[in-house]
Amino acid sequence: MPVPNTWLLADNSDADPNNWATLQSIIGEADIPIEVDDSYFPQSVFSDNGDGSRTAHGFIKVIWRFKITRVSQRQALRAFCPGLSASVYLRTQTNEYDPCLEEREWINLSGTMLWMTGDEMKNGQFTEEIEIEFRACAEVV
Amino acid sequence: MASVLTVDELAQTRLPGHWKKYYLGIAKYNTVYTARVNQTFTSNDMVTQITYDGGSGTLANVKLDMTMYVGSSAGAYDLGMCRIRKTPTSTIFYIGEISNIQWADNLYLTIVDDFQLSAKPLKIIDDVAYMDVDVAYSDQHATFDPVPIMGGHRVLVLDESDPGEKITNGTFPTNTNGWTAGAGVLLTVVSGHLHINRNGAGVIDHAYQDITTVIGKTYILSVNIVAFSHQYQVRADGVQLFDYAQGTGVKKYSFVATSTTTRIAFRATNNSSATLDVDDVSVTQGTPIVLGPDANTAAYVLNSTIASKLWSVPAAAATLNNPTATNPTLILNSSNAGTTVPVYCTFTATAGSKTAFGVRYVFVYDSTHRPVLDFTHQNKNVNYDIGGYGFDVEIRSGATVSDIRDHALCLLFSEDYIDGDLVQRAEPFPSDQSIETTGYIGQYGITKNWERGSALFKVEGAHAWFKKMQGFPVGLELVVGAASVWTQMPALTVTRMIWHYLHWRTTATKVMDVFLPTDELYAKGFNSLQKFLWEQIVEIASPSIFAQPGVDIYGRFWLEIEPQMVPLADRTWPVVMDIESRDWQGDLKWDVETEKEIGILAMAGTAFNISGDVSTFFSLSPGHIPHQYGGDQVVHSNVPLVLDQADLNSKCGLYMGWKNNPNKRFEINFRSNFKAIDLWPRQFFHITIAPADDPRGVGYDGNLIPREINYEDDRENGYEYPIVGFEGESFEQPAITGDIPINTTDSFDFPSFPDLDFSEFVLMPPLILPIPGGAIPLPERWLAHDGRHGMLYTENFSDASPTWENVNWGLTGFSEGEVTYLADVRNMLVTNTGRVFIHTESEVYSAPSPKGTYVKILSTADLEAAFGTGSVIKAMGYNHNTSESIMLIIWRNATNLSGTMIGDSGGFVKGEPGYTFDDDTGILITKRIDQLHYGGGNWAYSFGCNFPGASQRHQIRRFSAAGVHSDTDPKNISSTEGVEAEGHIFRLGTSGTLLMWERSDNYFAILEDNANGAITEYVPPVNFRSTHPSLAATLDGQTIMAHFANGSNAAIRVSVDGGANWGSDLSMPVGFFGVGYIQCIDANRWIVACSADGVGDPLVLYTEDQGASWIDKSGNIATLFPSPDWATLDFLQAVP
Repeated sequence: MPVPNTWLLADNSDADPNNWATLQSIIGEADIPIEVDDSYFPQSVFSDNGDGSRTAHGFIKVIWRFKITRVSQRQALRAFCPGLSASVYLRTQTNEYDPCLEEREWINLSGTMLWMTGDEMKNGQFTEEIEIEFRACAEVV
Repeated sequence: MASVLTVDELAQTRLPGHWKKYYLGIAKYNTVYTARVNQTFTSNDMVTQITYDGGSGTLANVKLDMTMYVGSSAGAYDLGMCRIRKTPTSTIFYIGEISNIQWADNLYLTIVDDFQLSAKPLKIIDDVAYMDVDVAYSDQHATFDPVPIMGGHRVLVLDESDPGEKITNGTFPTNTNGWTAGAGVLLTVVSGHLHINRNGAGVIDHAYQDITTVIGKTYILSVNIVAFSHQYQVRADGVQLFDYAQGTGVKKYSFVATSTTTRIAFRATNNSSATLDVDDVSVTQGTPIVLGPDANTAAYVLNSTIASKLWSVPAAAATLNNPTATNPTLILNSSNAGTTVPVYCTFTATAGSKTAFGVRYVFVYDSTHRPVLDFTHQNKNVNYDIGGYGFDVEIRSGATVSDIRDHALCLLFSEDYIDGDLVQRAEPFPSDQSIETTGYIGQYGITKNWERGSALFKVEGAHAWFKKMQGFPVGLELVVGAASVWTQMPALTVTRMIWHYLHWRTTATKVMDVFLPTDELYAKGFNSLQKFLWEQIVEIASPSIFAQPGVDIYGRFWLEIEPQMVPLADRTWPVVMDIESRDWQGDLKWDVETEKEIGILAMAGTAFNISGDVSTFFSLSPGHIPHQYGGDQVVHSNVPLVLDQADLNSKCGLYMGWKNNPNKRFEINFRSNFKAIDLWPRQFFHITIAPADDPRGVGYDGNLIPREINYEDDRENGYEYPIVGFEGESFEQPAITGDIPINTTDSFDFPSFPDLDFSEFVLMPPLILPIPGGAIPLPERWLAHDGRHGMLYTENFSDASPTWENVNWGLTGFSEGEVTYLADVRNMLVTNTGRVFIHTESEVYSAPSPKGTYVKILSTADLEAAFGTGSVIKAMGYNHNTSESIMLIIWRNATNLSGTMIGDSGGFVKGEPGYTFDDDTGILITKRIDQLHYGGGNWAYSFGCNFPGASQRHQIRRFSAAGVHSDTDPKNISSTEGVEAEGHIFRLGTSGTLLMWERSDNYFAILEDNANGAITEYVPPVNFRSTHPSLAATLDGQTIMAHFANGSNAAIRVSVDGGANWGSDLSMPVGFFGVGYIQCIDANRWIVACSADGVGDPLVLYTEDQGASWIDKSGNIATLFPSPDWATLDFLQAVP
């Protein structure tokens, strides 16, 4: 069964993407499809080389941003990263576009989930902004 | 050796997307044995053994050089650590000699499998040296112990893809469920074991279980063979893993699954009624790791070959396949996770079947037993001159003393990703977990804040610990034939010397791979006075063969000849890669030096054969004309060992090329993680920079030698790249055979090294070679002696009025005014290092410098203990080719025996036990007649004595460098035997040429080769009056200044033709009365220390024009003499 092209997240106990939970199932609400404001960095740094070329280095980095999140949704995400960081699996969309599918290409990754250290801007039962960074990511198949 | 990157490795290196994860592994040592101290102590000093009781563990598992904790509670090391030096008995632990532990009865002793890098002390008992307290010499320098080469330490992360126990009911608590009996076989549980009764069945699997496995994965079968009646076999998937030959007990063997189902089977064999009892059957996934050295290195043994090797691990730790192979496979499983597994290998030499074992560690982790993660590191770097790697690491959790033991082995390792893939980088030891640096936990600082804080550790490679450990004095001498003591070594080379040092004086060869150069340059002797181990190695290896030690990232020790000093044809090490412009980033910087560092280089070298015979060579580069721009005239300060003149010329040219290398530094920022570079072993990189590609248009096309690496690490992005400082390859420059040195203030000879023992530690002194046209600076520091006031010293002789001071610290006996001094000083010597030796009739004193405190280093009692009551010191001489090798001539009237003592500031030992001059009835004990000088390979001793049937006679006798009387043809100091009144000798520097004269017989002669060669005799004027110190000469012997008589007054004359003719009396200043001592600086500059006349003061006179005019350098000397009554400045020496 093909892995669905949506955001997936799992702890590091199971490397099979088919078993990873959809973000929809983690924090989604009925009838409201989840949409993630995400960023994908195929490399985190580059070098300007002696021959004039530029080479990408560093790990893949992903950022997921959530706005106006319920406390329960926040806690669901927090379960994957109780501390400041945790090893996880994730599926996210890249920057590249697949003209056949008419959507962006998706990628399965292992990486380190970093819980945000900045202000989450609480607003009653909501958190106005959560930004989760995944770094030290490597593609898994 | 380093390796050339393969095409694939190079392609992988050039892929984008480099990043890495860092981990820190810190050794967790395993307790091997515990006990309690069972004795009281009267002293904590120099403890070498401990009586114990309450032992727990298997004593046979305690190996030499393991670490023993000494603590106030079980397992603690709060009182210190020591080293097991010898196999313990049931009541005694033998430990490396130690003084820093406060011992007490009932302290806790814990022996762990930590083998620390440490020094082994030597002990001198009754003048006999023993290694490590009590290891006597037998044949250790005839047949050698092997040098274990085992590769570096390893990190293994367990494969957990098929977790869990595969066997059902492996412990048989009540039944045999899960196990199938072969046809006719009876399976029962007996005493909690599986009892297999073959019961007449055929040769089949008598008890088996099919387990689920993953094809290609490795598994470990563990079983306790409780008992068997005849024979047995244990099989996996039809393949026998082991059999009855392994006996009973817990056995672990591995297999690789070839199917998704694997049958584990037991067979009771060799009899149809055979039985077999087994228990605790377990199969779990294992992870293999290949041990051993890389393909380019191997264990070795000096003068022989490795006959065999046997790897082992602690019995319960793991499974080891092919234990006699160079690269065995170790299989570890989840039971090892979080532990540090020691791996041993014992090597046996062909010659003498000598054995030596080494130890390396495997750090084992899995998903729940992780290495240190909560850390950051910085300052990871390596430098050729420093000799190894180091870094700082800040650990925020898991940093307690139980987590991280002091001095624990520490591995910084990484997982490397390239272009999205976890890769195995090019390096000697394949593993996905790549070793980045090997070191030991060093000093640390602690930061505490409101939350928790952190500990900042310095992790340093073995080189740094070599530099922190004080070594004991070390020295070896060449011996022809078999060695009989530890201090002798046949066919002595630097390699043999360093091997002896690292193997017998440290634990290095056990805990790290040690690679030494192929070295066939014999030496007469090596020794070092340096305090610390690293400096001792450098002092021995660098001056002799231009070799430098270094420790690579895997903790392997390399002693290699400096690559720039290797002839071009022998630079066979690999060019790791051709650096292309796409391989570096940012700016590529390099310096081009157009001015030379050296204008002319003069170098001396010595060649010894295996018997110790020496030849001395001299070389000049480029020749007598210096380079046009830049560069001084430089004399190489050490005397390297060479094969011959051509070899020295090559080395002189190579050194010139190296120091004048215009491309001393390239700085290249590689664009990516790059593991294929290290500073050891030697390796080249190559780069081509087209002239058109640099603004100066010079370009560079050549090899580069890595000298320094700093790692730029960006943990925010996981990206690290090395910034490498390279030196361009240099080449041999023209060099010619040099001039035989004729220097007027100092000289040298290299014919022999002194005999060495552990009471004599001799440095090769820096040698002063002549530079054409070079002027010798006027020494500022001079030490003089006056018979009525002791030692006088100045440090500003070139001043118009030098300041002299009394320097008699530690000397007592007589007083003159406020000056206390030692009376009856018969000779005074200043060594190359500035140490002072003086002696009286039966005592020797020494001070580390003229202003230091004198200590009596040989007493009358010492002397008489050695040679008998009434023994006296006849003469004292100094071998200027050493730092402080001193020889004494001893004579005892009662037995008419003479002998010698050789020593230094540490004391003296007998050289010549006693000889008798055939016709000698008594030697005059006359101050300043007896003279002793070393040069040209011999000591020469001049003395006066009475002979039966003849009047007084003066002779020269010769002694070997070791002080043994070797003269069968003594030379008389006279043309007419029996008329001598006072014969003397003066040596031209440390050459073999002596000036010899008899002051009342009008006899003067030049003796070549310590009186073994030509003799040129002259008749000086009748008023020739010189004693020894009142005659001096330039080193070529052509210009001589001597004491003459002018009526009842003294006079001074000069000869400029070697004593054939003498000039008139020099015009001396007012106040000149007597000649005490003449010193020569060069043909024009002389110093005369003068006696006082009872009215005036003693004078120190200096001339710069061969005595045509004189400058008074007495300075304040008069103020130091409350009463100048006949003061006599009788010794005067320059101080370096």
